[in-house]
Amino acid sequence: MLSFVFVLLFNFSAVEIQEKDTSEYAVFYEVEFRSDSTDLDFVSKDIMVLFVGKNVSKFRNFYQMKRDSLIKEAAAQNMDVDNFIPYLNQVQKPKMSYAIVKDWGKKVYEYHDLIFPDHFVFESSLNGNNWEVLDEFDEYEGHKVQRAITNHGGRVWEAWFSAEIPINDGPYVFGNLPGLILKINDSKNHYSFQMIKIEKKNEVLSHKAKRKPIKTTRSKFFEMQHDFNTNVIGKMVSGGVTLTDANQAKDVQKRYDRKNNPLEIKVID
Amino acid sequence: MYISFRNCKRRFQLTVILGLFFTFFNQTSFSQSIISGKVKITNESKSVFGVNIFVNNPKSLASISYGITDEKGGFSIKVQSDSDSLLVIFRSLTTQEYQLMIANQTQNLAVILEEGVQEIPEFTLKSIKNPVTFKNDTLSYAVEGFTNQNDRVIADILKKLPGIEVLDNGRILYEGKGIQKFYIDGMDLLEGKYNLASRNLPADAVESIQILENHQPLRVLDSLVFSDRASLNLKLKKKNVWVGTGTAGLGASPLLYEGKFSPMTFSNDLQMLFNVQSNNSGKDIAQELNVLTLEDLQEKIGAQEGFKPWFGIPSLLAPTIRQDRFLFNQSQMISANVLKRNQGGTDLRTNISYIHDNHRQQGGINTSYFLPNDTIQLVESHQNKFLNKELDAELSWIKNEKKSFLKNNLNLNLLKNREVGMSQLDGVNWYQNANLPLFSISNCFQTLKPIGRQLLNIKSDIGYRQAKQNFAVSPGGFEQQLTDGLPYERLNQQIDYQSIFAHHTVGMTKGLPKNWTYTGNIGLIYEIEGMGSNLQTSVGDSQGEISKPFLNDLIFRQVKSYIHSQLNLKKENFNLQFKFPISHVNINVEDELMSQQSEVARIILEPQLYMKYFLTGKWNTTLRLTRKNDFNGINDIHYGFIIRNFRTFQQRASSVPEVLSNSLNYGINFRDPINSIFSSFNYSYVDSRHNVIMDSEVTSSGEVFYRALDLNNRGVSHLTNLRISKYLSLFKTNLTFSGNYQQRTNEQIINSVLSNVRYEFLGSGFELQINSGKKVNLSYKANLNFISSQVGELKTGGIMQFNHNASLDVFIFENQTATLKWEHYDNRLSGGRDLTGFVDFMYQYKIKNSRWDISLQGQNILNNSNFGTFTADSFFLRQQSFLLRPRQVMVILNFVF
Repeated sequence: MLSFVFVLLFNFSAVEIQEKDTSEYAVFYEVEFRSDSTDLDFVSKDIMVLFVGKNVSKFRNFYQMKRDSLIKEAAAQNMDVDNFIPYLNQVQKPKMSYAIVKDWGKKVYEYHDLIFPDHFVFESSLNGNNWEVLDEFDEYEGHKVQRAITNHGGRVWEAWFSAEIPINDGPYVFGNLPGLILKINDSKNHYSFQMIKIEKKNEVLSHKAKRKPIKTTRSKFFEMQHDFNTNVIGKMVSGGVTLTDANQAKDVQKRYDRKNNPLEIKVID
Repeated sequence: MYISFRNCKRRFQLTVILGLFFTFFNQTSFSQSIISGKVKITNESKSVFGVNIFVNNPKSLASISYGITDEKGGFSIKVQSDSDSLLVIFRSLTTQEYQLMIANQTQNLAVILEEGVQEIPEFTLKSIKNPVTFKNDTLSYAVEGFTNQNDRVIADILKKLPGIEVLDNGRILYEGKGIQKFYIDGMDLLEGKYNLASRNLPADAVESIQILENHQPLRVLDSLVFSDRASLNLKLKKKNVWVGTGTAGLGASPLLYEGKFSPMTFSNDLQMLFNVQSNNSGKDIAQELNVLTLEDLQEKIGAQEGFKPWFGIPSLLAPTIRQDRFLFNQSQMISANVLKRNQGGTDLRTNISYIHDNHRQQGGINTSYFLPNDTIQLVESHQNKFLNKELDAELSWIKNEKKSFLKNNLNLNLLKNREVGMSQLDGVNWYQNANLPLFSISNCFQTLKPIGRQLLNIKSDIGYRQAKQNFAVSPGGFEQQLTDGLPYERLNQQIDYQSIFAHHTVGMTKGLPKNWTYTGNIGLIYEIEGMGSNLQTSVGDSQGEISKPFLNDLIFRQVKSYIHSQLNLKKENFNLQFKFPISHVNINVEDELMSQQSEVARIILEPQLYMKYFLTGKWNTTLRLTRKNDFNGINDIHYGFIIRNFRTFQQRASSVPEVLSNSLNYGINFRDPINSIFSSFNYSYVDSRHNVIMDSEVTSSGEVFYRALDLNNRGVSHLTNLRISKYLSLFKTNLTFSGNYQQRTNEQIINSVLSNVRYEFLGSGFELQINSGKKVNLSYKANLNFISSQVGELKTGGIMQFNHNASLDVFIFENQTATLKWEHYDNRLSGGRDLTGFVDFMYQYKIKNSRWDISLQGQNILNNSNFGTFTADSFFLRQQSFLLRPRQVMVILNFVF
């Protein structure tokens, strides 16, 4: 009798979880971006994955996920040890380190990221009703796509969505178009996301950082990131890392100077 | 009235559905309608949120407008079209597609959709490189943009990587924790002495630097024990060729030289790194041979204590200024490190080094001894020479595989140290000569064997040490005690020492559910040491042997068996470590000659608890409780007198000395990176109980006798530390304030009177760092400290220290840097004051398109000859004056090949 009740409860909760907390599909996007506005030939590449569930989706870096899962596997079971270290070394280092969990029902998203050495999280609203859908069509890898324009973070974004794929989501914080966004880029083509793969996948749709994150706001976060990039040394000192050689300090700053073209340019909450 | 349609995917119907509302619009060419309504699904438990609704032109199928349902399934779509009718399509992942033809009129629709599963066909445009395949020759992970033309050695690049900090002594930290292993091309050539590589390996021989997070260096432990430390691996690009770096420098005054040559070569199965160095400019070459990795240091735990000589010349206390300001030296070092990887996957490694180091010190000491009935002042000056020769040879055999791990380390160490001192006390010149050779040989064997899901760790350490040392003082002293008051020429103390040491342990590590791990060890330590001493006085050619109590024939035996357990918990917000060692200690000390004996046989418990709790993302707190019960070794128990320095004799005729200490350490840390405020507070309390107390007897001539007495005594210490730092973005400045307070009390017997001794330290600090990033960097530090000590009711003195130091870096051009450093020391003792300022500068020019650089370095520009410092401790106050290296300027060339 008890086991029957237990099974029932289990099924019920499983259904709930199924509905909200795991994804059905995974959409892979290839990202190309120019982080240095003074050197537009310097293009960085990355791969991000969008896990879509019923109302909730998660957008994460593909290489970061691979690294995390390799480490977990090695710790959890008697994995073939000879392959462990080379695995990790074979995975490209992620360039976009954020993770975004969108809840279309509540119309909010959670943005997780790291500004050395702290983990942060902020919540912001999903303003999905801001699209101007145009009467232009094109074809993208066998799908008929339609053009739509919106504004976000100080940039004008052009998206191509497919009405045939009823997943109303897309990369980064974009979505709420009547179809999956297959391609989106800003008007200057500094940041572009292109769909390269769709597969069925069950993935938990919540994100847990390695350490307890510090809650902040969207404007505060991007302000801190900008601060960090323009003065790496000073910030690292507060993080507990001091570069004792002055020349090296100068060179590190130069490297961060190349991050002068972030995805979100204007942030006013 | 509602009509529901089924399966109308391909049927077009010219039917109009009437709803509750009917609105007319009068538009000429474009009629605007609002199509609104509600969508329901046949299975009512399913959500109706997010269903897509397309409004198309039925003839051209061009899309006109769209809408998406809200949580309740409601929608409202504005339509602007001149078409008479509209095709409405309902589409979602969980419903069957439904099409509906309606008139182009404002209306309200009520739609019921059938449940269905719309499958999205899986699709791959670009194949994403699968990292799961292992390719032997394509290990690659380039570190972009960190290395540039100006990096000469690998340490230059390491300092730039975020998360990595390189300390002054060369130790590398990742995320605040020391790295576990330093690999070169996956092989461990230097076993912890990685300064040899990081300071000498040329930067352009390295293709990439890999940080192996959570790396478990022992492969067999990989799946069982999760390590939260990182290791470093240098992936080389210049293989099978000789590369290296070198330094050549020349300067004055007097004639100074500095040279270093470090060739090395790496191939897939052979690695060789050689290093030859010589200098007389004050640089400490032995630093490159220090073992810096924590794990390699930890292997020494449970190892035999380092050998401490019983006697020597009175070393001048090293002051808080940089060692190279007062180190007069002539040092040479040769080091050879070779690693060969054999077919079977075993590594054979040999590390041999030889150091020849002569250095001297010169200075004066004024000591005030506060005795119960008197205060004695002593004025001494010392000229000390340390002539050290050390040969260290190590041979290792390592087999590191997934199913088994074997390691055997054989070490031979030969020390031939000699100390020569010339001291002046009360107008008399004392000549001292100590010969301190030491021969040690040891072997360490370790193996790890997995048994099911457990791992067995077997380790066996054995060692043998031998020393025949002597100390001669001329003229002799202590006439009253030794020669019935008659003067004599020379005093000679001899010690013969031998020891055998063995430590065997078997341990186990087990992963437990829910983030717990358990480590257990059973071990046995066996040690037997023998020390024999005798004392002679001589006049001319005749020698007289001094009898008891100036003789020793001591045997020190220790047998310790233990069971150590450790529980670890690692969760997201909480870390815990509980150590519970139980040991049985049996110490037996016997001196047949002196007819004395002491023994201890007891069970000891030494629990330790450590907890770290993350209250929020910003606050975390730590607590550590420790209980330790230590027994002192052969240096602290001998029944006959042994000379310690030219005016001190000591005797430890007591029971086996032991210390029982209980300590508590509490810390709380705050990190607010949003406002850039970081602060930490720490409090520590230690209570130590001793069973033996030192009795110091000081005579007016300065002769000192230390005796150990059996008397229970207690010491207590409190230590509080606070630190706050804030970063001001606008000024690119980091400000730090720190304060600390320390109080120590313990008991001592001075000239047969038992007294309470108290030491207090109050310190404050201020730090400013401006990193403008481009042209100029400035850092400034100031410390103000107050020290006071007290014996009984008598305050022995107050010392004030006020120190500043500042450093300014100017980047003149891309490849030229100038640095100016200023240090100022103000030490005050009631009545006396010592002020010293130092100025150093450096100008560096990096030769374009090469990794060579030339620098001009100047030290002690103000040409200070002496540095004075005050120290207060227990019952005496000391003022020391140190001879400094004079102004020196050097031109140094660093090259790479």
